[in-house]
Amino acid sequence: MNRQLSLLKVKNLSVQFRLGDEYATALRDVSFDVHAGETLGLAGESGCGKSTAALAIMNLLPENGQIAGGDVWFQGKNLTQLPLKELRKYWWKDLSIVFQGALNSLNPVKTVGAQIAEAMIVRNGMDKMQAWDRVKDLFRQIGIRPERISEYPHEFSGGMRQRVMIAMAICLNPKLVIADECTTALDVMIQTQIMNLLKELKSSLELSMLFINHDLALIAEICDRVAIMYAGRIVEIGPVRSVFFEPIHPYVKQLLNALPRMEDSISRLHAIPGTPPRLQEIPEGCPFLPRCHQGDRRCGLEVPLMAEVYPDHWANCHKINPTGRK
Amino acid sequence: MQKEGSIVRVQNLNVWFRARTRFFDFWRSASRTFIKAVDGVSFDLNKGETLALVGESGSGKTTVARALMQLIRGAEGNIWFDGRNIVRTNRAERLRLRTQIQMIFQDPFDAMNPRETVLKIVAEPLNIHRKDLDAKRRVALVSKALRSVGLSPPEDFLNRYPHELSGGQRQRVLIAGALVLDPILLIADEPVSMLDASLKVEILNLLVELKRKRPLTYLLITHDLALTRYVADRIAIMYLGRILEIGPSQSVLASPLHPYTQALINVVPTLDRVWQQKQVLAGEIPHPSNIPLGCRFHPRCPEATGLCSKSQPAMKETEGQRLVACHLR
Repeated sequence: MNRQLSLLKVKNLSVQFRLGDEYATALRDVSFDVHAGETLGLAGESGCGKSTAALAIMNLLPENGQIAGGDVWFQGKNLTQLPLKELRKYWWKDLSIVFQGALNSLNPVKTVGAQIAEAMIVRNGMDKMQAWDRVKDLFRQIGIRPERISEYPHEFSGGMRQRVMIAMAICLNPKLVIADECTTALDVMIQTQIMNLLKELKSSLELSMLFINHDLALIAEICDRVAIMYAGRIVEIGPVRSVFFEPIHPYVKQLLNALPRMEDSISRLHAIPGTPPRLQEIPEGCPFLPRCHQGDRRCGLEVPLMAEVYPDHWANCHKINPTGRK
Repeated sequence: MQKEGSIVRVQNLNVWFRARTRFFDFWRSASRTFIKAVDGVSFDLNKGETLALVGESGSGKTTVARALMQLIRGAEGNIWFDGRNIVRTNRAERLRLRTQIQMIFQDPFDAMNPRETVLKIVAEPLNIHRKDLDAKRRVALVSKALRSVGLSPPEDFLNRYPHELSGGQRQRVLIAGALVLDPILLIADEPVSMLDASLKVEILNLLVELKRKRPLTYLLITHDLALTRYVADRIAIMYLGRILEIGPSQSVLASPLHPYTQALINVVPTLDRVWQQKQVLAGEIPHPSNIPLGCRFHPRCPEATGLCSKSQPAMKETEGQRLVACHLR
């Protein structure tokens, strides 16, 4: 799997949440790489663990969550072993994150410009003049008139706030940006504008991205590779076109069948029967078994291992025969 | 008046809200501004059809629904329902209407009281509108409604609380609550937008199925054009308080007439069109307190001419029962 230089290497990462007297395993043995200059998509239904993965990488898990195993390697350093003080040095400069709710992430009583400038002054020791010049440049880059740097978040529309969050995430030229559902609350037209902005930044800044989204169509648009998650595990990972045109895992196949299209002649979509398991009681064996129409006894006993079926395209399903083909 | 076969006729509906201006402006009544959430909307809803009202947030689609549901004061224009104009109603009439028009809301988590059982939630409309029923009959009607939305056997669900249900089951319970009075019109306001991809399909398929078995008409409010394709007979495209285009869904989606419809369809993210170039409109929807003169879409329209900034285009009929409000079509 190490054909290219990997910037971020997540290895066997597991995360548990304490919920009352129960433990929920939100992430189980998750492994993936983000190569330099690449955008990896992380997709799946709500509760499958995609945001947990982002939070675990950034060490931002809530109080009741903890990394139960595994490593996060970033440029040769194991982030899970670093004390918070050391880890903070990576934030913004090396690793940054864009969250979903831009309004909640911005300080309502500070101008947007000041918030971005502050990040640069505190993190990078820039002087004020330098920082404000950089804010103006950033605004030009994200398509907002630089005169507006001294406005407050409430004077901005939802789409513009999301642009500000993106500007903040790239202000110190990080190597990796994690975009966690960064287009989700937006209208489709604004969403497209944000996607175009991300694509532009991706090529002009040679950004690497971990693009987390529940919308597979958006993932397909911007990502080089995609990992599909189910019940805390990655079930399939590979180059975007390969995964979408030749899905291997029954879950991925059915998920793709449930997505609306604009140019087919199918009059009815098919839902996946059943619901994902509760994270407190994930069944033994393959977690998708209760909803799978191909499952058999073995699936209920052993967790399937990842196998490379097509070049660089991996899936974990017992129904893939040893030669790789289904 | 209503025409033959239509269940609802909306004529020139306006819903204007008074804008809250600065604190010290309250006595300067002359400078009052209005937020024109709905500004001259007209459409027919035919018996048995599914009409999708599609638009971005702020386009006024939910306000139209709320006006139909009598959940809003100050609506002006005409809403004909069942031979009567219901734009202004008294309490008795509103009660009667709500046995015939029901609504399901977006968020299945917010729309339920977490301390009530499924029985209580679904039976609530019966408690208000069918006080004549005894407890046994009530449970029977609730059970029937639960069964019709695929929650069977109903006995397994009657005594459960919302937190014991999955997202899909919750939305089903809400639909059961809307159906328990046997309404003839169901308004669904973004019924699936909070749900996961597979659940979306599950709930939409359920709505389609229900309509096969009952004499139901749907007004489906949504921003998701791609899903609309699979459920709606006709689509109305709203922008800034007004319908810009309306017609049979297949033809609207295959050959949109209005430049806004074209732009909207162009940016819908679906897997089969991922690698196509997308033409995105610049800017954002203006605020409804400041609607552009002339055609309200002209500042963002790629085809706008001088005429578009001067006069507001009227709805005109084109081929195949399609209506469009554009000077250039």
